Amino acid sequence: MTIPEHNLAKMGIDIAHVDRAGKGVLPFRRYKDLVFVSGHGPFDMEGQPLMQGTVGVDLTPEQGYEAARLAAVRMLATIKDAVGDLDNIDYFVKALCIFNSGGDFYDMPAQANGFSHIFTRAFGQRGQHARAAMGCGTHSRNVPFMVDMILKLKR
Amino acid sequence: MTADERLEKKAYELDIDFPQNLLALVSVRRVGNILFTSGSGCATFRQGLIGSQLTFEDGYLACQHIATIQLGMIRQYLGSLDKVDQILRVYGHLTVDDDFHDLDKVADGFTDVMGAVFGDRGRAPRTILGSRNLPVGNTAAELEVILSVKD
Amino acid sequence: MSVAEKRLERIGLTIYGDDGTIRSGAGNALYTIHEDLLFITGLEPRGEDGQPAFVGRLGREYTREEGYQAARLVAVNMLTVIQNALGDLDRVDYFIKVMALVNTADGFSDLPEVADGFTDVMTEVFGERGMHARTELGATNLNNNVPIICDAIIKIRD
Repeated sequence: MTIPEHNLAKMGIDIAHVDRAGKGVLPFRRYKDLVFVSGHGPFDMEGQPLMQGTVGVDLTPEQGYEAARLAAVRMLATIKDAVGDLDNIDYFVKALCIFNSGGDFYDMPAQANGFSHIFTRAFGQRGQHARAAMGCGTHSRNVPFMVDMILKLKR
Repeated sequence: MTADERLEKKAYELDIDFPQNLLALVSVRRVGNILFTSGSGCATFRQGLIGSQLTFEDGYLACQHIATIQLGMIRQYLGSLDKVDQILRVYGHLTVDDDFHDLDKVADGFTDVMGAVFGDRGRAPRTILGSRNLPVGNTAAELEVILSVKD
Repeated sequence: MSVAEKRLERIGLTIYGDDGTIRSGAGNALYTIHEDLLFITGLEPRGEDGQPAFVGRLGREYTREEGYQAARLVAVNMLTVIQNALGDLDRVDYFIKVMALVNTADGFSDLPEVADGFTDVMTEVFGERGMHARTELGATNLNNNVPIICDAIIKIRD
């Protein structure tokens, strides 16, 4: 126990413990001039999935593209919150785009453009980024697509 | 205002859209002395599930192949691999059969090439998962790296 | 004893002795350090004997709650690696980004609740500094068929 806590205890004050269980995930974390954005998917602002299923099984590739686009829209809300003013962004660095994939769906790079093109259309060359577009198993809440992103701020 | 900012402002005034056919992707992105690469698979080599269509050896060879592709990208960006300081982190997916669990040993194909080129500076931490489908007709693996460069 | 170790004690966790018990793949390093960044390899839920303490998939061999426990064990494994890497857990400034890979059988999608096992330990031990950006993915398979693997990018104190 620290001295202040000891002194508080003498006054009958016990500092309540904040239960952080389940609340440790941040939507983003800043490191110097980099912002690491957590995985985002096609969710609404209340956290409800807008699309669910496996691309190549329940969903077509075009629907995968739409899921990627919706993830970009949701992520932009987090980005704006993180950087305050979009003009504070220097450029985008790296995205990891993952589709819950099955059947004969292998065209992740093309459908991940649903996400990537939002950034180039909005930010031009500064919206370009290194990227991996891959498949995996089931995502959280069975959404078809998740993406995380690293971006760089101006000094 | 920088020249870059003046270009953006001009394009905005003239209502010019970013070229639709310009790729959204770059192979390598640099921030300070850290590089992030885009993921690479092997386009025409070793496709299928490791553990069924492909053997362990096939998967290992695919990862070696992809390591050389990544190093080619990095060399093209930097001019020389002598500028690489350290491979910091590897991330990748392997297409594996449900019953094949030796993913780390397959990924060693990638690490072994990095080790051959950079010694201990190439044997980086890895995060590897199994997946069902990967691009380019189900390449056996797709891997990317984060690395640091010498000034 | 560092502040972090005191908090570990309070939540009843012990990190492993410094005997290199935590092993990953044959060829790679457990961590790299670049300036003030610490990159930790993807870690399995291994026991003190160095062997996977959980083998199987969420939605098949393991329930969500069991997955949460496996994820807590991954955090213990990682604290051991951090201790080895930095010498003292109080040298951790803050966690930046975590990848949480969950080995799933078809349909299991409560990935955040499983990964919270890892995040909750780091938050208990480091407070706000243990919080992090995170991406959870459902894997169709993981090394040694463990239910969860987590990696981390961490900022070291200047």
